[in-house]
Amino acid sequence: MRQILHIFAKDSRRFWPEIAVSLAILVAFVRVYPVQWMGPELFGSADDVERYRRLQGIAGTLALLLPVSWLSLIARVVHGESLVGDRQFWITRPYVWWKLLSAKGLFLIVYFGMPFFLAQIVLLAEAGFASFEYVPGVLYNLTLMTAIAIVPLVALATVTKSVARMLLILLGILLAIVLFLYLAFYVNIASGFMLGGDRVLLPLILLSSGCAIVFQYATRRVWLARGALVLPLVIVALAEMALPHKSTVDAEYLGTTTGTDARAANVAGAPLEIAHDGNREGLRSTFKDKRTDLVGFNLPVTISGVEAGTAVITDDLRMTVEGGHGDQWSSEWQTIFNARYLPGVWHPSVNLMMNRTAYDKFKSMPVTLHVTFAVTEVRAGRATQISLPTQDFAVPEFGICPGAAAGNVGIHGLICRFALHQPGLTHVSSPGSGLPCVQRSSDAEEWGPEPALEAGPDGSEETWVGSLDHEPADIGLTPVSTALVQFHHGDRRVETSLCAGAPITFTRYERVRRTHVDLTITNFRLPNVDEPLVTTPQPSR
Amino acid sequence: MADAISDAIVAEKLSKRYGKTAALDEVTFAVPEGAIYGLVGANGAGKTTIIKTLMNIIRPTSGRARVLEIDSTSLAGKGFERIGYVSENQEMPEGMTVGAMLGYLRPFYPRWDRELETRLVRQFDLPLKRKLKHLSRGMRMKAAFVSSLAYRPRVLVLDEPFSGLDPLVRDELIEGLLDQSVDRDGETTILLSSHDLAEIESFASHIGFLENGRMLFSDEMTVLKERFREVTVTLEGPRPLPMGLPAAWLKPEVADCVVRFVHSDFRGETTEAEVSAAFDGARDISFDAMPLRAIFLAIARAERAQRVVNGDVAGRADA
Repeated sequence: MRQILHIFAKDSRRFWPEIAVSLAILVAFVRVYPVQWMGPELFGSADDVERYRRLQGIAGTLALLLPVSWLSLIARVVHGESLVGDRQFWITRPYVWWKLLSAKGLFLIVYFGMPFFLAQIVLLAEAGFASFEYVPGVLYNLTLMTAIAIVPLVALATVTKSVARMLLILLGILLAIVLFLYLAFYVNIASGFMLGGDRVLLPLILLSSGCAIVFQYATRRVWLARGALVLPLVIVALAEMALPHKSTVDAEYLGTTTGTDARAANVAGAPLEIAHDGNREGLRSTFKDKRTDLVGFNLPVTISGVEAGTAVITDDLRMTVEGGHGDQWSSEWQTIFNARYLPGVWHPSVNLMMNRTAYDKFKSMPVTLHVTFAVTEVRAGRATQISLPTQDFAVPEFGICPGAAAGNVGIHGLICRFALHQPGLTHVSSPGSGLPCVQRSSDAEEWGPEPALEAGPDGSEETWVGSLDHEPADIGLTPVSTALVQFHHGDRRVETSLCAGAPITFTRYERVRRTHVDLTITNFRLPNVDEPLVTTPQPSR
Repeated sequence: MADAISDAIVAEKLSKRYGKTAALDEVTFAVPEGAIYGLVGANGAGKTTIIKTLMNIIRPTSGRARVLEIDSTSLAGKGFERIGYVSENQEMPEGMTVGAMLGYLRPFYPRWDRELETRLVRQFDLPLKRKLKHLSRGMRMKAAFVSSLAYRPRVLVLDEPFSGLDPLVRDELIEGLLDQSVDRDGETTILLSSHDLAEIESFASHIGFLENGRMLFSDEMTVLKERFREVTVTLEGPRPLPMGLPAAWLKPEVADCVVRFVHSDFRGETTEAEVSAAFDGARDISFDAMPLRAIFLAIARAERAQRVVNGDVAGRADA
């Protein structure tokens, strides 16, 4: 232990400038970052708004500088007793390798881990949360940060001689990852099996980095340690290319329903129905993307049968086109964004993407189109109704939102803040019509199209916030995340402004199950995509 | 009193290859405890490779070495509490002052002698408050010496310690080394490498000569000097060299009536009788002691000539 503390003390003295810079950036970050969760309307005058924007810029810069300062700290302290080369002063001195490694670990705990932990606690308190209730989540975030960023960086430092070399290799690795991801998603060489889940890739990175560090400190055999560091990544890349593509959607949605019944029963047993809306054919639009050689078109559908007290989320879809002579083509699963449906009858359109070759093959003949929707059924849970106060208010199981500041006519949206991660899926609504303090702006285009923002069936203002899946904490520099809860009304997307006293209801939804719903259209003719572009394509997978 | 061991350093068939190039070729030698062993050879002969292998800085391809009974490949951590290492091209903690470096190293060595440290610092006139990166080459070596002598190591390994130093600094360092050896009553074994024979001839007790990764000989200095004689035979008239000269007669040359060669296995009267018999009727035969430099040159040239005969030189050049 004495040797560990002795080396730690030496490093602390030797690298005090780096330590001081890192801590100064962290303190400044903690001081300035809370501006990120304040709306500009909370600043009164134009000068204040200018100051708000300047502070936001500073906060963004500090958020970039902070990881750089940690990287510098890691590189300097590891290279202080460099493990690469045969001329180092320390290698013929009575250093015990595991004590040296422990000293470096202690250094990172004291000058990265502890300040980071304290910063998280302070930021939570600044955001209005009872910090100490979130200690496990903060530790989880710290662990994630260590596993994903710190340990691999330490591993990289152990197999490089200098900061410059380390940065060069880091850049090379990042470029290789970008190239691989490009090949994986655009050239489609990857199965998605290992990249798709952090359950494989992240533990592998952690394991290989950890092994490389221990091996390098114990033996200083640089090339073997470099091999240990790189080999798992190569294995992942090769496995991605070798394994057959199997989307997790198949297992998660189709596996839960037995039989081949096209219309899966919903929670209560009543039919959830997705039907082709032939009356809206005129609205159908087409698009094409030369880069990915994909073409697509909108398909108008009607969704009904959502039971009271529940909602349905259409997550993904897959299409199969059958031609006259038994020819058929099936797509991969394609993501549908922000499509959530409460009870009622809905008339959305879905984007269907095809590769150009398949499209050309089937475009001139009547086809049978099968569309399988992967859907998640959610049930309403705890509902909290609040009259919008003038000051910050806390919503249980949700977060903390700002009130309508005194003197303001109304607020365009609530920048709510959440501890550790985004909240669970929450439906936020306000009765809207009939409230004297509700105003609507005609400045609609400023906010752009947002398919998730719909008027409720009863004409209320509403929106959805959060997600169904989350870990104990999201990895990040700050434990406070924010989301703009912005009320809109109807397809006109007219922005709504609320003032103090407006009732707002927060309803939490929990997943009941995942299932699938099939839609079959016979004698369907694929639209002509070579006509001028009508809409922007949605991303697909 | 330390545990008695006969040889502080032992190397057995030590080889190191880098691809097809042999940096060390089955080198075998031993350094008795208390010896001051000079490892000499030209640049590139393999001196640094041997030393780095002994210090476990690099691993041998084959063979083994032991330092204070510890296998060199296991030498680490506490093993270095009794071993000192100084190299001409060693990286130092440049940002530290001399005083800070000595202060930092002290707790690593249970037998660190503060009094000796103070004495050496004074003897070498070291500026304790100056950073290592601001020191001259000579001062840096002095600082490295103090940091390796102050804990009274049982084995001190020095790789070209005097290379590039001015004579004054070199003498100071040698003096410090010898003081250490005398102080320790011969308990400190010193292995030092050099390409300059003259600088170690005066104080080395043992000598090993490396050429092209091979140890040509390794012996005690007095024995070595006793073994080698420059033989000059003056004949009555010119005549060719007799055929089938013994292998121990190196570099035979004939000039008019005089034959010269180096005898590498001189055994007094026996050798004198042997030479007299080979040059029957010689007018005069003299056996002169040789300086170390002349011995090395003779051995090196003889070895080189032998390799040419064997075709070894061409083979190496190809490699």
